[in-house]
Amino acid sequence: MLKRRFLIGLPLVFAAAYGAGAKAAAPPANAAASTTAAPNTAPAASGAAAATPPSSASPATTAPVAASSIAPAMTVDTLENGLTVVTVPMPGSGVVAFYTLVRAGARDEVEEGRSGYAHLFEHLMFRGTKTTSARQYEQRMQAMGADNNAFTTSDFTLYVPVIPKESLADLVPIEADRFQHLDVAENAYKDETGAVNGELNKGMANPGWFMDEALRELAFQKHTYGHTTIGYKRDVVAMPKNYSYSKTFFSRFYTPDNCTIWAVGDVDHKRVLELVRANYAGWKAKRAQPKIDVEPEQKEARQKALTWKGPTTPRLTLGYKIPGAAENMRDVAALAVTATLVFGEPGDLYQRVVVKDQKVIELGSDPDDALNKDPGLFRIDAKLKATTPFEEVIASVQGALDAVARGEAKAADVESARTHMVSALTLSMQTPGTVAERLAYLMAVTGDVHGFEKYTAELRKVTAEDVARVAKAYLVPARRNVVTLSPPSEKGGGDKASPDPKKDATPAATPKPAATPKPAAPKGGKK
Amino acid sequence: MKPLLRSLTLGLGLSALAAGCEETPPAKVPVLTTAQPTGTADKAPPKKAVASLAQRDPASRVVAFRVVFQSGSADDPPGREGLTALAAQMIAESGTEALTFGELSRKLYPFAASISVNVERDETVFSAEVAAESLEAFYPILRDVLLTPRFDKESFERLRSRAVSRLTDDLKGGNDEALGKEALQAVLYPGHPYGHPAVGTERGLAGLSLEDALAHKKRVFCTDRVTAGVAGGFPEGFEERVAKDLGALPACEGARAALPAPKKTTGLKVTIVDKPSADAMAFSLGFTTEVTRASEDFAPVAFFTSFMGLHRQSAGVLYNRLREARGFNYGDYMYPEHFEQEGWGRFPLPNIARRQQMISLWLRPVKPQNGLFALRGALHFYREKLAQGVPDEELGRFRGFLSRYIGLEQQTPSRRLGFALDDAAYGQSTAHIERLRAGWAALTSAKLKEVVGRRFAGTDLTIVIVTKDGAALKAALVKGDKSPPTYDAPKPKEVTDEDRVIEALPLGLKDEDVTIWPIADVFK
Repeated sequence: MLKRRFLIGLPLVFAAAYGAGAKAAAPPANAAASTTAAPNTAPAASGAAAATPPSSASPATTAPVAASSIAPAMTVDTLENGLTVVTVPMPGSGVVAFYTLVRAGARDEVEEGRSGYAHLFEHLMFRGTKTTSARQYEQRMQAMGADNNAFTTSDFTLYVPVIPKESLADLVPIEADRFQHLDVAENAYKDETGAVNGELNKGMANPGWFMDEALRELAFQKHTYGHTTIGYKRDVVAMPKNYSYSKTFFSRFYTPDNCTIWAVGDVDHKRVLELVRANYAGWKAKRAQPKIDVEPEQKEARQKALTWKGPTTPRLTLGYKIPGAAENMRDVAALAVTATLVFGEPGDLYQRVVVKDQKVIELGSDPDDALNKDPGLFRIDAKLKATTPFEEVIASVQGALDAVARGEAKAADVESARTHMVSALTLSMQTPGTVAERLAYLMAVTGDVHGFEKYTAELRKVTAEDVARVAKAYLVPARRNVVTLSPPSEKGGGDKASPDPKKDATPAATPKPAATPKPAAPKGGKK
Repeated sequence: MKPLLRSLTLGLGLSALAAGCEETPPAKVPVLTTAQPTGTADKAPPKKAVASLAQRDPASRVVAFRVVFQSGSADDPPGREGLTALAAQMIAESGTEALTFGELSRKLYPFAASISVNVERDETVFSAEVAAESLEAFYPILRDVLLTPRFDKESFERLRSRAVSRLTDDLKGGNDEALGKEALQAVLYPGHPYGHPAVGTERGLAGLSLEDALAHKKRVFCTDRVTAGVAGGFPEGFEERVAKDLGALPACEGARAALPAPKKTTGLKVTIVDKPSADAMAFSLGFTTEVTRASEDFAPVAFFTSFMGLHRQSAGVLYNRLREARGFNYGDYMYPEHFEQEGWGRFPLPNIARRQQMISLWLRPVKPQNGLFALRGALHFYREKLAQGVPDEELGRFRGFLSRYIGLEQQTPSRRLGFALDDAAYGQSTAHIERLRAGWAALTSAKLKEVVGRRFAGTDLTIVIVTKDGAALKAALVKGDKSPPTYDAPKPKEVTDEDRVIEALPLGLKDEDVTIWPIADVFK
């Protein structure tokens, strides 16, 4: 249930999947079905439009994307029912990541009292179908030796089975079955809500969860980014009573035109397409388009103080309103570079407040936070020394951003940050699973199956002028939201950051650790 | 392309973990020979090169480093808990003699090849990954970091503050599941070098000085304890260069920390970590074991723990009975050796090998009203499988799953290298995965039952519970009343019948069997 981080992972056949080797990996069979479009010219769809299936009457196949930069070669097809199928060959890996992206996340939970259902559904998808019980599903996955899981974010849900390559023909039918014929009895539904509550209980020990929830609420008063992925405690507690609503949620978003299959690893595109067509062609439904309120423009800085329920060093999280990735990829890429430039270890700010003055224990900003489908938040997290005033750190952060806005960032430093990001992305995409996840993520937030390639292309173009422009436009006090967290002994205090189902104060869901390097907790998921 | 596996080793160290194990490792260790590097014997003094392990794959565009020292928090002197970890972080994050930390950060940044370090009880690993095309530019920086770390006062204070925060904020304050696991080890290993977290204790960290860290670095990060692991797309002979370079580390002057035999638990013993801010109950159960990866019994032991609760998979008994059938929590797992998960993933972290091991079982946080029942449930299902064993048909099915699944653990050069280094540490000549698959292939229901009967404790268990209101929980535990569960949904008869047995499961705890450990005193 979390955004992607630049993490570890490393591929078996890196050379084959990237760069020169990628062209050789292009499956030749595609030409026959190809009707279209140079991959690099596909328009970046935005928002709801991205969920609309292509209108082509017959399956449409694109040629493999030339592996410019670090984008892997891939072949894209769209079935008549709108289901998109992408293959990325990583020959020799011995495994297949057969991921299904559902473009529904906490963002799509529009009704009051119904937060957390995208994530709940991620869990329910393991509970069986009309013809295959949960037990049978589990045993069939085990027979393949599958590593099987799923996770949910604000913008999407991703199902992430990884299997030995020999098992693909066994996997596709049971994946197809659960997406088309999910059948969860009410008692099993209630049991699974208990597991979700348990997930919440696990996360509630971390102050970062509460800070994330408070920051979202503070920043978004209309848009559904105002609630976390796991949902409000009160809504999670009420889930057992809302069996019928859960079916509504499923029918709205679990539709072929809203899903993309990513088959990455030891795959042959033609074979994957045959299997998918044989098992998913009968799936007929269209994605609903519930209205998501647009967040009004923020015109002044907002700040909220929380008091933690136990001892803690003071913590601070800041979020600046920024545009969505689909609407303005150029600025989002520049903002991601800005996060890396200003808050990375080599940055002047880090070197001053963490290394030299040591007023801050940890400081960080994840560039992935800039990647949201709708206008979202550019986030910064800090853990402070007990004696450091919040206002001093807020002023330091704003001062560093203001300096960038004035054009004071050096071109060489921007280049270093840009190169760092591209290198980190490359190193993080070494396995079929990590490749599939990154590609799916960028598609989810851009609405474009080639979103990753476009993002990295934009990253490579970011200049010192670009970071100055976006800092000036977005990283300003009027767009700023701040949540502080103090230990209980501090005078003045603030809202209690403790869970009480009767009140509105609740645990956060998208766990947002307070600083980098991130503590091991966040990326939740089915288990 | 099949990675080239070869190595040159000199000195001690590679099977040092096995030395503390119950069984003697196989004498043949073809993976790691004691041959001297060819072609260098009459040039550089051979004793200068350290042990190395190379997995070369010219097709790979990544080079992964894992420089493993047979040194860890077990080497912390009494009263200086956290010293090894802090010294290791000073190596990785204080800069070099030539570069301040800021300058080092700038130089490393474009590679995104941050040099990270993980310190565990018996091992410390410095790891990095870099694009193969950047190897020549990156490697001299890594070499200087390892050989000539700056160790300045400013970095020391910064890293010590961070360590204190990670102990107090992150471990004690922000993750009850991890806290329970660490507290279990403290209870299992009192007065033992494994008895405190690698990050240290509050008093230990407060008392450290830069001079302590510098002296300790020389003592434990030394030639005889290191193996230089490198994997991926590096040029031929590169590993010899690394091994020779690391020969400039100081020679080891002392032996590794001696490990006394761990304390034996008799009967159930419960420690309640009394944490007023805990909203749920986290459980960790376990016992020490003589079984390590060097043992013949490791494969059956790992089979049984996986059958009970493979980490973050739906396959385990505990997961199915407590989470899936009852909706109690987010997951329930069991592991045959000390376990840490890598990143956000499902798989274990390599290079945390230990000379002495523990078997643990943990329940992710449960809401308090079902806590006591969940504990009884875990004991019930665990003991039930101990007694009944695993029928042949089920064993065959689960073996098929495990034998395939385990292959997914090693998908990257870095992880394959890490596991190969672990094989070396345990003195094993056959790869971990192959040993397990072979062991599982030979397993029968009867054999499994026999091993489980010898290796698993049914009643002599240590239990740690992280919760608020420890006194009330202690009273309930000692009183031993029934603890019926509460559910949101009606349960099938199969489940309610089980519940009637579980809720009344005798714990047999006396007042002296249950200890309350106030959170303020934990890792003080």
